[in-house]
Amino acid sequence: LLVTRVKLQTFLQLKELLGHREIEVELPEGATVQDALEQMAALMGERAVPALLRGEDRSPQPYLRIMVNGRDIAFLGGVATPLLDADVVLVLPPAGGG
Amino acid sequence: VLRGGYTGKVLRLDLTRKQATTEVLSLEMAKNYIGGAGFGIKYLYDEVPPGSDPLGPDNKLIFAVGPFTGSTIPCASRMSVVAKSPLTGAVGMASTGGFFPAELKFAGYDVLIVEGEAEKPTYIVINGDQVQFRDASGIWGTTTSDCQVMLKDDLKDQGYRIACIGPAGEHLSRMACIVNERRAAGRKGLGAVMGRKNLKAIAVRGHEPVGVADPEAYTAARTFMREQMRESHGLYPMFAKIGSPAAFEVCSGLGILSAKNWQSTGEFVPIEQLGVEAGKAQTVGRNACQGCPVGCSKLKLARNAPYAGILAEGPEFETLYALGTQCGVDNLDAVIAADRLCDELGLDTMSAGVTIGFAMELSERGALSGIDTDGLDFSFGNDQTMITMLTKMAYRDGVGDLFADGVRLAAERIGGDAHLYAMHVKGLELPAYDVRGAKAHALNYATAYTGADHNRGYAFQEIFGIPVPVAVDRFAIEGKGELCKWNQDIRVVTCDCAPMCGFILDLALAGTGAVNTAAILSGLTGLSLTPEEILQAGERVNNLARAFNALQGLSRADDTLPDRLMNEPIPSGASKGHHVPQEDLDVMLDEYYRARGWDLATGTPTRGKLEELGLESVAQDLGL
Repeated sequence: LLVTRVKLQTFLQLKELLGHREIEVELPEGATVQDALEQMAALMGERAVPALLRGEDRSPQPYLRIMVNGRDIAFLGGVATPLLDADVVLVLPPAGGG
Repeated sequence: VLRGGYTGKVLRLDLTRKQATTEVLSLEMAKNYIGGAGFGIKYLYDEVPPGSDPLGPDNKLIFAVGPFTGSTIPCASRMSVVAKSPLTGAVGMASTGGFFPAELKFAGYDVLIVEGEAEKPTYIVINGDQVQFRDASGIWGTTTSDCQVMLKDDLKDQGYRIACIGPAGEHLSRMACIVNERRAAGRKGLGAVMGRKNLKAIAVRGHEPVGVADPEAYTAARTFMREQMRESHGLYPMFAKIGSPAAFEVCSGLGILSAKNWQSTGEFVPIEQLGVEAGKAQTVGRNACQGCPVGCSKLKLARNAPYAGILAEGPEFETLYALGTQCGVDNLDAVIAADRLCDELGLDTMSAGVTIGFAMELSERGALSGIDTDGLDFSFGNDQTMITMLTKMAYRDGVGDLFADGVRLAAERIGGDAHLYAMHVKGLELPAYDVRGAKAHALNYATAYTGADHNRGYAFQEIFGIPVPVAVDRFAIEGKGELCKWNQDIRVVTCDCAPMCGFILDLALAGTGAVNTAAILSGLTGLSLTPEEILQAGERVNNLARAFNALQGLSRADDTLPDRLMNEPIPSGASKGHHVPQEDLDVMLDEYYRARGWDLATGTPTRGKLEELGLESVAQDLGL
């Protein structure tokens, strides 16, 4: 079975829930950003899932920003954006300051 | 008639004649310029003639609060300090928080205008309508915290709030700031203007509460703002716990945390050493500005030799960059020590750190070989050299004198191709965000009226992904001219004029900033402005600032970026390969000038735009 290895990155509030700032995961070939988010939710545990996904359609919380290799998925294919080996998926929680 | 919010009084302090006079703040002034930076820039434009030497007797130093300051609106104890900047030659506007701004309002003033020059070191005491000019020879030479302690003791009243300069301001470093409590009007060298005037400190005390025009409307507006803050997903508990260093994590994730004089963005990312977790371990307390329920400011204690025992309020995000990654330093204790030292010396952490990183790159390139460096090793990562240089620059000691006035002047003094590595716009050293990976923010650095200044038009759309007024691709150049104008106008009016802490705009009021400001202004002062008129007031302030700069000779050619940002792509990380070539900058500038109604060739406001803003006389001044 072919797999795609991607890096999941997050920080601040979500890092505390995930327990890692960066973690490499294996996804089936042809996986999308949604699959990566599901994987991340599984790693975070059930109670923490609402911090990431909402409702029955399990779309990402609207105040999160998700990027693949530095580019916002809003300007790629949204959660359906396909992932390739070595892609970096960054989930940015609401933040400010600077 | 001004019915609330404003005191309606301007205090003019003539240091030459040791004379204080009170003037009336007009309703027109309040309506057109709102307060804070708006007032400061208006007085600067009207009273400091074009071509004046920033360190000469004609420059004025203006302290201006806004209608919200000292009221029960949260996060409004902000003050703008305005002068012609000795660092840039343009409008110098720096904002500070803490308690001094509210105290100035309680003392009965919206604006202080300091003019002339004292013959001897002087400090000014303002206790309501009692104003005294006093001999400062006993406190000249003190650090900023010693100065504040000594003055409060002398005045036998610990309730005084004090804004003062340290040794850097006394020695006219063009990177000197003005410190109140542990906060600073940090940038553009305004501390040198104060030093040149022989003014060590202003102590202020007041007892008058801020009036409210329409209590019912005011309470409703205030409740709306508090609800927005409560509902924010980022403000509580995250930002309240961590403060501005949250941006260190964000910028590292986006690959825009600048490092080693912008050579190593995305490569040198010491997140474990300087990031949020490291900061939490050193945090021993927190602090809040007057009237702030958030308390983002953290007290951090260095724990390890040789810095053990040094306490700083900070380092804030920008300092983690300037006195951290910019200098290749990944020792948090060293950054804490350097931060505290800058506060004591009255030196802007940002300009100072960028200048030292610049010296380190010059050393790496062999460009310091003919210069006596007092035996200092300027290798990146040498935190002891960094800390030694802060003191040397503040006192103009040895090699410190060469660098005491920031990168632009240092590059001129050193000559050769040093200017290629001088990271500034219009003379102001660059903030932390490597804007090669955030194009609207790049355009803001290029066009902000104070030079490379993140706070003049912060592109929170690109940095934090806030989709207001639209979601944007941070790497794209299209649409960034319009966006940059919006960012600059909303920020100046809501944060620098009303005023309000900039963090609250990003974290809680991004989509409701103008509505919120209009509603509070109406309830508090009785001034009835629509959200559109609020935004237009911001536009007016930005146009007047631009006109001031045009009269000093600045034009489109000065709306530029350092060579490295235009010609070298980011080497690594999530923004790898991006830069802002001249042709991209030109596309963005054209769009920006069109959005602003400014002349494409010169970048100067057109007569039509100035008339629309009620600035006909400015058009005349510009010869239009």
